[in-house]
Order: sequence, then C-alpha cells, then structure tokens
Amino acid sequence: MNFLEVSDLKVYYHTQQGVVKAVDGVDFVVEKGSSVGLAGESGCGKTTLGLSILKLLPSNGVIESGKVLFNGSDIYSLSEDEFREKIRWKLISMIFQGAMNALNPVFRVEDQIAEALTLHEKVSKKEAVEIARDLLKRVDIDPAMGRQYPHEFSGGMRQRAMIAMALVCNPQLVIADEPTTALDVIVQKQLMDLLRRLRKEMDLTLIVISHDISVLAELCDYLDIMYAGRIVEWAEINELFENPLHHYTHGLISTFPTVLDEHRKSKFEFIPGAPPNLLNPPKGCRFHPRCPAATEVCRRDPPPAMRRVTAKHYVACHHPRGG
Amino acid sequence: MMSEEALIKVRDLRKLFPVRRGLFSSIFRGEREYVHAVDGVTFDIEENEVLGLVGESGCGKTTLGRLLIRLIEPTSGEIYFRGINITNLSGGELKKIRPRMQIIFQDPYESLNPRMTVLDLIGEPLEVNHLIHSDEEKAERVADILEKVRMTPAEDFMFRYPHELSGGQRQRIAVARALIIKPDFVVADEPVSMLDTSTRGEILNLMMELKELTRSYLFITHELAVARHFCDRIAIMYLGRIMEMASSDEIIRNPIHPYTKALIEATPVPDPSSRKEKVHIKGEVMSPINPPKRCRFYPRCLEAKEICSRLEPELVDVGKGHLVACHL
Repeated sequence: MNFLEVSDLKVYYHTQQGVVKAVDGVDFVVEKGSSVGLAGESGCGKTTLGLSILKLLPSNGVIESGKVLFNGSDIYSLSEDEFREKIRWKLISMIFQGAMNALNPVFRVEDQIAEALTLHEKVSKKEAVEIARDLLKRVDIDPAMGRQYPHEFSGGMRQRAMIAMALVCNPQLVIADEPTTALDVIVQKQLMDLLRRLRKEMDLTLIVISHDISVLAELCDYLDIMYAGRIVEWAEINELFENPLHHYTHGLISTFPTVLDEHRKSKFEFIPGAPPNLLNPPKGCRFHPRCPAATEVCRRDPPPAMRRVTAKHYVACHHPRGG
Repeated sequence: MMSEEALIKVRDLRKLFPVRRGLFSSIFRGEREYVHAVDGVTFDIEENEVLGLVGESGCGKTTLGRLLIRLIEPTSGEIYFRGINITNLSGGELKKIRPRMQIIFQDPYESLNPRMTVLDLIGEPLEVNHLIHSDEEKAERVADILEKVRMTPAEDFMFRYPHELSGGQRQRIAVARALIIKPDFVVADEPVSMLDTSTRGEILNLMMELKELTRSYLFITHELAVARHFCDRIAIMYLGRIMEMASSDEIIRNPIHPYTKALIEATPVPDPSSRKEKVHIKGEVMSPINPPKRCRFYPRCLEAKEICSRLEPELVDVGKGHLVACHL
C-alpha cells in the first residue's frame, strides 16, 4: 500500500478569462519515508497540486475529480471539519513559499508557531510556546529569539521558522513548496542540510516542489516532472538524471549550467518557446510545440499516458529518447 | 591587468548610504551611521571583456554597477571611462558619455513602461540621443534589432505592449533597448534571474552573439554557475569589497579565498551523484552598517587567524592576474 496515492486529479481555476486547467489528470504516488521531488517551470501546476493535497486552494480553485488516499484511507471523502481536525497539519503539513509573506508581521515568531499547535491539539498556550521554542532549537535558531518579530529575522531564519511551524503537530508528511527559492546559495545549502537532517530525525516523508532541479537532485529519492498540468516522467533520481526519457526532462537537465564544468562553455542550452497558457493548452501532447522530436501523432492524438519502462521509471511520450 | 587602455578603471570607489534615523537618536546619539554598500573597490574592465560580479544579496553588486555608469553618485574614489575621469562629470559632459554606457535591469516586468509599445520602448534611446530623424527610420531600426533578438516577424511584435509578451520576450526587448545604440559598455544586472532556467540560455546566447552591437559587459549575478560560463573574468564580492578576482576558469579550478570556496561548495549541481557535504562557513552575513576595520569575512571564516581580526586585507596579485584579499 502506498503512503500517499493521488489518482486522476483534476484541479481547475475558474477565472474571468475562462477555465485554467492547472492540474489535468495527475497520478502521483509517495512511498513512506521517501522524499519525492515535483519539478517544472512556473505555471505548470506544481504548487496547485501541492495545495490541493491539503485542500488549501484559493476560492476559485475547484477539485473537479480525483481521489487522494493517505495510508489507504480516502481523505477527500472527509467533511471539511474532519479534514481540518484529523488531516491538515496533524498528518500532512506544508512549508509555504516565500517566508517573508507567510509569517504574520505583527505577532512574535514563537506565538505564531504555538498558535498552529493550539488550533489542532488540546494544549495550553504556555505548553505550546514551550514546544515552539524546542522546535526553534531543532531548526538551529536560538530559542530566545522566538520572542522577536519576523522582520527581525533574516530570510534564512524566517524560512527555518516556517519549517518549525510545519513540524509543530508532528506530521507524517510534509509538503515543501519552493523551500529554498529566493535565498542565497549558502543559506539555501544550509536549509537543504537541515531538511535532510530533520527528515532522518523525525522520520518524515517529504514532497519537495521546486523549479530548480539541482535542489531536488540534492534532496530527493524520486522525481516527478510536471509540464502544463500533467506529469510527464517519474523515476528514481539517479536513473532520471542519467537516462531522462522525456525530451522535456532532458531539456530541463541540460539547460542547467554547472559550476563544476572543467571548461567554459561557449553556448548555453535552452528549450525554445515558452510554457503554454493553461487557459487553452495545445492539443495533443502539450510539449509538442517545443519538442525536437514531435511528429504528426504528437499533434493529433490525445496527450500520451504514463507507461512503465522499468519498475522505477515511467514516461508519457510517443517518442521517448533513445528508443 | 592595470593597463592604460582599460575601458573602465575603478579606483578605491566608495558609496556610503546614510542610515535614516528618528529625531531622538539624531540628537542623542553621536556618530552618524552609514551602510557601506561599496567600500573601497579597485579594478579594471578591458575592452571586449565580460567581467562577472558575483555575490549574495546585499553585497553591493547592484550599487557598484549603478556607480560605474553614473546612475548614482559615488561618495569617494574615481571612475575612468576610456581614460576620461567621469567621476565628477555633470550636465552636458555627462550627457555626452551616457549613450556610450547602457544597463539591462533585472526585472523585465518592472523595467518596461506598460503603456509603451515595443516600437516606442526600443526606439526611445534613439530618439533621446537624436540618432534618428524620422518615424520611418525609427521603425526600420527597431525592426532590424527585433530580428536580431529573434522576435520575428518584427511587424507582429512592434505594436504590442509588454503585458502581451512572455518574460523571455520582455527581457529580449530590454536587451534590444540597451544595445540598439551600440554602446561601448553595458551593465547587465541579473538579466536572467527572473526567467525559468529552460529559457535563460536563449537570452544569454543572444547577448553573446550580438557582439557587433556591444562587446564589453559588467555581468552582475548571484549565480556562480551562470557567471562561470558567460564571463571572461569573475570578481567575488562580499559586504562591499572584492574578495577574489581571476579568469573564470582559474577561479573555479583554483579558488583561494575561503568565501569563494564556500560559494562553490554551496552552488547546487544538477547531478544527484555529486551531493556534497556541509559547506565550510559559519553564521550569517553581518550588517554592512559601519563595519569594523578587519577582514569582512572574519566572523564567518573557519580558517581565520588573529591578524584577520585587526587588519583588512588588500586585494593583491598572487600570480597570472589572480587577485585575492586574504591574509592566509
């Protein structure tokens, strides 16, 4: 039995311009104790997928269809009250993108972390603050600094406080949405070390959402590649980087410049064009307008389904690389 | 390195920003406080050279870029452009130099006027500098550069507004706008950091290919991996000072300064088999307000010695144009 199993999920945003199909038929599986990366360009639907697992979508976002099984039980069949009491934050929590905006500027950091606890568990305010301070220590912040306000924290410390807040109810699964984006590389590196350490210490299962595949390469065991609302490839992390089968995955990996290259490159790789507008995605395979291997079938047939290549590698492509 | 013909020469350049204070503290607290954004920087940029300026946010790299083209006034020090001291130029003299130096800003969503069409956005530098005499000429020149930045057919783009363009297309407009008057020197301030990695390469290649329009850049970035491939030389900046400077091959292969080493260690690599151990650095960046006289990196350095706590190291050549500011 899978720890988390999302099947045929469709999440649409109803806007004045029309229906944005942000997540359009996604199957997604997470094993207990693993760390799964979700990669894709901005606007591909990866954050929407993360938010919909926790039912935290903005009011115009609608879960049109799909099922989410957590430890075998169907969590979408719960009522909103049950979901809040039993699932959100207690079993599954989230580290939100942009710690600058996610923390309330007029409350002390420790009180904000404690509030997340008092809302979900029967503890006194005092006990909750004690636990909040312990957690701050755990994420390498001096517990005495919990008395300070978010603006007195550096960017890296705010992100650590967000991590502490996600862990306050001892969840089993944590969804980290761009946990290191907009931070300097050294702070980013320290945060990745922290996430790795916490995962071991607290026996966490992680979903890491990022546009930066180098961050996912450091943090994850498996990687899902998302493009225009659909998952196009899934594989064990080493396998994916050594043998990417989807042309989009290959593009993502080869466009990433490496600091370790022995020689200076005279040209940068890039994927031509831009990701499609999800109000009106292209017919057929959604990647075909940008794909070097696209043929008639890619334009004509419905988007290809994920098919098994090996037990640890699936791809959705009519003409996968090297085959 | 310090040749007479250098395109840009910078000598002991400083920019201090006063810290705003309330009435109470300005009366009762003694000394004024300053943010030392750029604090004693000396270097040259040669003709046809791409110099990378790499550092973390708040290190002063953007301030330095703006000082070089006189968008802001330096506190002290000198800037030479092709041998002319431009530090204190003003009025008409400065206006003569302006078209020879351009800038590409980081955020194409904010740097382009949303009420102007592509034609007017790109044509504006031509008009301001009286390089064209008619609307036909303007349209011709703009169409020509749109082809060069691969926005074709040009007629399809000329009358669009910025909101009708993707991020990558907007940044191509920003590049076209900077290069259309063939400047001698361009400051590119994080030109690709707002774009998806998959589309960055296109803009960077374009800038490299358009050598007939300009050849010399100061390329400001926080990403060492991009600078490593785009730039001829790289300068590493930390809290207002240059810590190390060498050719991009040399600085990546043989980094000397502990800060450069930490930056290289911390830069993620898209390869799960090269997961690295902990990065060799401690603490966080300290405040740039009135920094004490010592090595700026001292509080974070794991190799620091006694001398580092009382003497600020100078940037010295350790051979083959590799400059380092470190006592070790």
